[in-house]
Amino acid sequence: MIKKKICLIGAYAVGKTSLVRRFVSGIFSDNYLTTVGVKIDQRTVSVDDREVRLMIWDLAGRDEFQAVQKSYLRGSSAFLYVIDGTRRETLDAVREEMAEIAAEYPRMTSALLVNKHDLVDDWEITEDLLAPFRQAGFLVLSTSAKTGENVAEAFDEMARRMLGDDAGAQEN
Amino acid sequence: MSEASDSAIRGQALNAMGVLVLSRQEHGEFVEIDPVPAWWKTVFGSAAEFRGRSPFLEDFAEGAAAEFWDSADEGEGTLPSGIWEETTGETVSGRYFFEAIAGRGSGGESFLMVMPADDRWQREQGFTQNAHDQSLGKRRLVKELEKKQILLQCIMHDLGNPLSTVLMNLQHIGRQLDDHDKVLRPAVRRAVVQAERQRELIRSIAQVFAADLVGASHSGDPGAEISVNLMSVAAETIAACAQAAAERGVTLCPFFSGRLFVVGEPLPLSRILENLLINAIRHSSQGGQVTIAFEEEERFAICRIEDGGPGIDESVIDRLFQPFSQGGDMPGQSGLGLYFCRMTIEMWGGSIVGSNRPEGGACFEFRLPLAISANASGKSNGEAETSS
Repeated sequence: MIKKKICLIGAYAVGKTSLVRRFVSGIFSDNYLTTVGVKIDQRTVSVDDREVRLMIWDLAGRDEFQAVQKSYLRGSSAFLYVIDGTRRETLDAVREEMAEIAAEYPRMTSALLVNKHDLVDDWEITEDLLAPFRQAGFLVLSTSAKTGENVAEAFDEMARRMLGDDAGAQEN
Repeated sequence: MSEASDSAIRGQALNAMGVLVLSRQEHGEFVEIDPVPAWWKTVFGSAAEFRGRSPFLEDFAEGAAAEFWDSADEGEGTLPSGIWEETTGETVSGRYFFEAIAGRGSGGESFLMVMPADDRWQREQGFTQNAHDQSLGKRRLVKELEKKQILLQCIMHDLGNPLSTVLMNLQHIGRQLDDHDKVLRPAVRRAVVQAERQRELIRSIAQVFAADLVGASHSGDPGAEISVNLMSVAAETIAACAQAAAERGVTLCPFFSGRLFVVGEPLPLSRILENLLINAIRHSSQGGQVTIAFEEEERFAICRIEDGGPGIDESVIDRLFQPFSQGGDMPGQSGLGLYFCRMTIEMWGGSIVGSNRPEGGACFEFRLPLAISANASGKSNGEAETSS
């Protein structure tokens, strides 16, 4: 079976762990329990009749005390950047993170998930703020770990793109 | 001490600490060094099985650690993995936290230490959770205050604008009326007075709640020190209240001391002094005196305003500084003046009290922290300053 490593990156409390729990276990809790260190979950998805085991690395959110440990990113096939639609500053934080990571992994399959779409009335992230990411080729999706909106779609699409990258690499 | 006894001591120490040591062999495979803790078998199986059971440890051992072991840089050293979480499925259910350290001995030997990190995780998680909760809570509060500020502005706008139009039209009607009109002219005058009172009430409410909201959003943030010369503001405010005192036949007796910089801002401070002075004037009888005294006590400046009136009704003295509380029979007052004083003074780190004087009359005393930097820098112009 093909194994692919995906890392979730983003500021604290944007919902990275909740997205993984929703995708892997189909559950959601409103209680916020901050992640310390790393937790790896797995789920197998099908892409065009091929099975792909996604190794999902849920990394502790960046804050004033800690940045993402870059060694955790080694061997990744995709990065899922996650921001909280209700907190504009999480976009600024992820931009910084992207700039640092892109220097080391310039062509990585990446997506930007704007989470907490169930709270869309309180969103501070507008479409014009996301346009540059779309233009740069990012898959940009509004997600909700609470309702499940676009969660499986995001991981499935990443799996598809990772396999596409492999095919492209083989053709070259 | 023999090599065998050294090894036994090391083994006992590792056992006591619950640390597993794996020795890395020539081709990258690992061998467990005795003693092997019980958790290793439960969670990771064995040196041959751990890769299949723990994607993290596999990733670390074959990635960052392998690079560290194989690096050209010879010599002793260690590389920590950071904390990670393992969950066991079928046989034992639970969450476990571990950390690993890749090490290189002086003889070039490579080893991997794995140890439980539940205690460390608990400490770090507690600390980080607390910091994040506080940060998110503060953010929520600021957002809530922003919404209230906007709501307040809308309410003030919607109340104030029609009132201004009413007032303007009443004044216009008043100007058009004959001086000898004994019916309409007094009626218009009464309407103007009521409208102006209403406008004053709106202004008071706006000021009080704006100060309340700003105060709450600034609380806990030491930020920049704002300072103002209390003497200078008091002199200006006393001069501004002189007319009102003269009209009631009350004498204002200030006892100024030298320059006194306190934490605060000129306009709200002036409003505080005005509130207290007008209160004292209103409660003084014809020929009475209102004294205003200043002193310095430790790190505070004290301003004391005393009158010879009937004093504060004992039944309201405890809630004197609550919103909509009135100290006596004062028609037309909003009951927000003293609340505004308290909110603003407390926002600056001070306090205010009201009491009855033994010799009769009321005494209002507020304390404000001395602005250390401004007093030390010898500012003499009485202007407010902001220093970080």
